[in-house]
Amino acid sequence: MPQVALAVLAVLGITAYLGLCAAFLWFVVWPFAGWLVLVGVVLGALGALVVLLSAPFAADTDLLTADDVDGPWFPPAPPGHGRDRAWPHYLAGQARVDVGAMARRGRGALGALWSPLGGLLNPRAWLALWPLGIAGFLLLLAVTAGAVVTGVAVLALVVTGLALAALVWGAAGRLLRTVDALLRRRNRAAARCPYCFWRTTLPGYACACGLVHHDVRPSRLGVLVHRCRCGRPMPTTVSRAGRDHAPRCPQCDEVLEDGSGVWTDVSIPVLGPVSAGKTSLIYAGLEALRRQAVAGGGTLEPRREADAERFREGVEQVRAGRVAKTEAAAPVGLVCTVTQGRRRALLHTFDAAGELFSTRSATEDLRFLDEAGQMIVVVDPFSIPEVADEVLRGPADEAEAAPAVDPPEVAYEATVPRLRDFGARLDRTDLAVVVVKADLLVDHPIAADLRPDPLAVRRWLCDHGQDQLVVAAERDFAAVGYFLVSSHTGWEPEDRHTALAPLRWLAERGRLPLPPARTALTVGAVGEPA
Amino acid sequence: MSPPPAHVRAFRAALVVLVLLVVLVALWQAPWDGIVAALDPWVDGLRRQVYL
Ligand SMILES: Nc1nc2c(ncn2[C@@H]2O[C@H](COP(=O)(O)OP(=O)(O)OP(=O)(O)O)[C@@H](O)[C@H]2O)c(=O)[nH]1
Ligand SMILES: [Mg+2]
Ligand SMILES: [Zn+2]
Ligand SMILES: [Zn+2]
Repeated sequence: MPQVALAVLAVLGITAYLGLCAAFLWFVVWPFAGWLVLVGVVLGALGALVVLLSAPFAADTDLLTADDVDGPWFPPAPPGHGRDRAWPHYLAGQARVDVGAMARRGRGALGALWSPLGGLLNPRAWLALWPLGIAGFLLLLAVTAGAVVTGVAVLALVVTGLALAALVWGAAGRLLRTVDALLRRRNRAAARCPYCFWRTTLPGYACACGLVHHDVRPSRLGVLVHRCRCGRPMPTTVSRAGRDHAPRCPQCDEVLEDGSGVWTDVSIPVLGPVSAGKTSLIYAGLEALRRQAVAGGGTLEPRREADAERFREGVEQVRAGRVAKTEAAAPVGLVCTVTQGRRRALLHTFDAAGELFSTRSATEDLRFLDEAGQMIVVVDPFSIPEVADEVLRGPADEAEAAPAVDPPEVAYEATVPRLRDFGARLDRTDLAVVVVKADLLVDHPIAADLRPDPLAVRRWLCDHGQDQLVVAAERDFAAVGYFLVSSHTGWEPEDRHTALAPLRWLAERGRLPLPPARTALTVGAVGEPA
Repeated sequence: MSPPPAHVRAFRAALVVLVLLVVLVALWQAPWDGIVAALDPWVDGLRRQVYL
């Protein structure tokens, strides 16, 4: 009997429980289900906004610093100095990190939202509370739906916005980089290190903290400024960085002349054997160049005080006809600023002792020959045997002409193959072949046909055994000019044998700013390679 | 870890402003009349149930 009563009681109890549940569902859960969903969706959307937008600011979101520029977020650094230690631009790296953090935190929040469900799955609790559980489940679903839809929309918006910004900013950077490069190329802007003679179109610039930025062009590190590791700004592009930072040699790290990399850079090495007349030609030519620049309202000034002193002394010596022999130890570089109106240039001339051009191995150390773009080869007519035989009649003549110790082609043959082997683009290099000591030569019958015009000089050289030199020069170089010069008398731009002639020709081809010639002197090239 | 520098914070703030702006514009420009009209029968049903 008690079993039957127990069974009846149990049936009654279960029925009552089910009825209560049904009533709860019908009268409490069902009427509020709609509101539950509405509230859940709105809550989810708000939550997603808060979680996603706060993710980049979270303390555990990675920060890409100046030390991460070689890290996995960036393509491999260029060879050489690598990427500068500057803060990467937000759009170039940090943006991706931040989007990742948003997605990660969003997922994490959803997981946290659903994790209490694990506790509710306890079977006994469910047995008692499943109608309430259904309500909670409904709310959770609604929150999740609102959060997911909002989260995906926000992420899509953020990714699109950042991608567009990166695209626009990247294009702006490339444009600025191209314009800067084109302007500098048009000006033939470059930097030549006066210490190691390295030539570069991209000098480094040191931040106040001491870090040298080796590539200030717009890049992933910033379009308008690069932010140094120390936080200080470094303006991008060579011209803007150069305004308030001293340029540095990328090779030896020495401080370069102001304007290096921005101004036109003209480098003119002068080759020739011992006693050919290189030093004389350089000082006479520079002085004549200075006179023409000044006459046209411009300037030509040695860059450093020591150079100015040397320039004055050199000019004095050449005028007095007693030039000191150049020491074989150290080639002398002389840097001058040339200005004309708003155009400015740095003019480097290099004078090495003739011994350094006597053998190929000696020329290998002459770094200033690399990428010169322009060269002068000095031809001493008195070192041409048939000329010397006819003109130099005794020790007195010898003493006055001080003929070069080697015939003209020696320096050429010791130097040019070395240049070619070192990869110099001779097909883009101009060569001025300068016959010097004209004052001593022109009155002799052997020089009857010799006039200071390119074709006449060229023909005279060919007629007097120098045809090999002429052929080689015209084969090797982009353009060859021929000049007849007296370094002792040609001080004025309009002198018949002015030392300015070769420099003026090279200057015009190398974009050195010069006022137009005052006289109708024929200056020009012949023998462009056929 | 050092705090992010100003330029990073500025970009992040700009990002937040951008998203909030878009949300505001979306809320402002949303066709509320249509939404309300579409929801009306449903809300009506809810109301009737509540006062049942
Ligand atoms: N008359 C005259 N003499 C010249 C001329 N050019 C050079 N000389 C003389 O030639 C000699 C050598 O001149 P430098 O200029 O010292 O020759 P260099 O090529 O520099 O010689 P190194 O330094 O030994 O390589 C000097 O005595 C000069 O005075 C010129 O145009 N006319
Ligand atoms: Mg010399
Ligand atoms: Zn710094
Ligand atoms: Zn250097």
